[in-house]
Amino acid sequence: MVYLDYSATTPLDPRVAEAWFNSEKNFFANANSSHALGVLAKQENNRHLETLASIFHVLPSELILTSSAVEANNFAIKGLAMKYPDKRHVITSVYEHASLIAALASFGNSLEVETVNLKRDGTYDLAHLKSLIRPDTLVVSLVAVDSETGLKQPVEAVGLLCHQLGVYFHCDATQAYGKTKISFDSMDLVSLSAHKIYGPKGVGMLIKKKSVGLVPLMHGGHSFTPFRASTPANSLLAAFTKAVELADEEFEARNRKVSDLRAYLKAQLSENPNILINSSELSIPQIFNVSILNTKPEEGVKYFSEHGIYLSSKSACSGEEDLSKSVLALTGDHARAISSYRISLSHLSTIEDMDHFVTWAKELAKS
Amino acid sequence: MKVVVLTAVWCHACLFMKKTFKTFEQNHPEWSFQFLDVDLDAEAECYSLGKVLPVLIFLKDGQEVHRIQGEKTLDDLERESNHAF
Repeated sequence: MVYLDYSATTPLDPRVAEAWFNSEKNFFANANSSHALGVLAKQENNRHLETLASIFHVLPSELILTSSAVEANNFAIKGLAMKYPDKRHVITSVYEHASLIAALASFGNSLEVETVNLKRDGTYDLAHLKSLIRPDTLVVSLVAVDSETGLKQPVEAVGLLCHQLGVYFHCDATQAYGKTKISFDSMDLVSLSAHKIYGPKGVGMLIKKKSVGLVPLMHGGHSFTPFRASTPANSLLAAFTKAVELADEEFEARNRKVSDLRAYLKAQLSENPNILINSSELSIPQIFNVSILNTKPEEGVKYFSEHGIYLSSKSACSGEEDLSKSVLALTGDHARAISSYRISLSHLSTIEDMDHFVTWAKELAKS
Repeated sequence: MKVVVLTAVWCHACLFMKKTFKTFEQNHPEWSFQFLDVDLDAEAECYSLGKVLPVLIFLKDGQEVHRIQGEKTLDDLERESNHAF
């Protein structure tokens, strides 16, 4: 089996599983309970929140544990829109995850949504972004890394611009965290997910800076934070924290390994005239997007699967069947945009995995 | 003429075309428009759809006479519908 879909989800790191199990075994009590076991669980949770806060350079009280990044995206948009009903203008991009788009669309015509233009290299045009910001702009919500091409965006600069102009900035950093250096200092709201960094599914996080007002989506009792009610999910917090700690501690080693694999893959594929590399030097090393000309990605994904290789093509619904808007934005080439594949790499990937993929990719390119 | 507009909340093109749909509807007061969410509105199941959204289905006497699909500008919608009728 050659798994090359690590940007869709990652396998659980055994050390994360151990942290989860340890919490379930030793800190299972309701952290809201006043008895000794509850107090112990709360202390453990606080320790985890402090660890995360230290890594993210935020305050523990600015961390909101969610069920997913999808929830975090929904919470950021809906929570702001409910808190600031006079502000009805949102700026976003063509690269956003469906959950961000759906959260915006859920307001129907009561939110006006505009998209920031892209420069020739596919990155956000900050001059255009500046020109779009208005007094009634609720939030600028932009993804840090495009999930299809891996293109890294200048989101720290976007945050600074938003601060200068007094507008909130929400960043979906789900595909970025643990794969590229990213600072949350200039961001007001940040969405994260555990299962993209070898943590479990079912847990994510919204970082909400102290100065930002949000109406909670989940009302109830106090949890880790007053902004999201539920019995504190001790073990999910423990697992998320371990996944983040490992991503932080092993960042250099993981990225070095992935960068080497990517360079090898690029060298193996670059001489084939029917295989064109779409990801650029601005892309994170973990996401490697290629077009295999004159193939249909939907059929191609099945072909690779039949040969034990698991990868992705574009996400659904881009306005034209099989067309990747991200690839079109990056290359300006329609033929490439309708024949693109996303190979997503990990420090767990091997040279043998690359060779297996290259063999079958070249075979597909011949047909 | 009835125009059924099929969209989904998760669809980028649908979100970015909201303004366009509104203007297109205003430009054609002689037509009745129905907006359906493909996931949430049971009536949407009456229409055979591919993977590409949004879809505009033009119905005359209950029969489909024209279909426009994918992300379009207002000019595209006007041109394609003018061409068809």
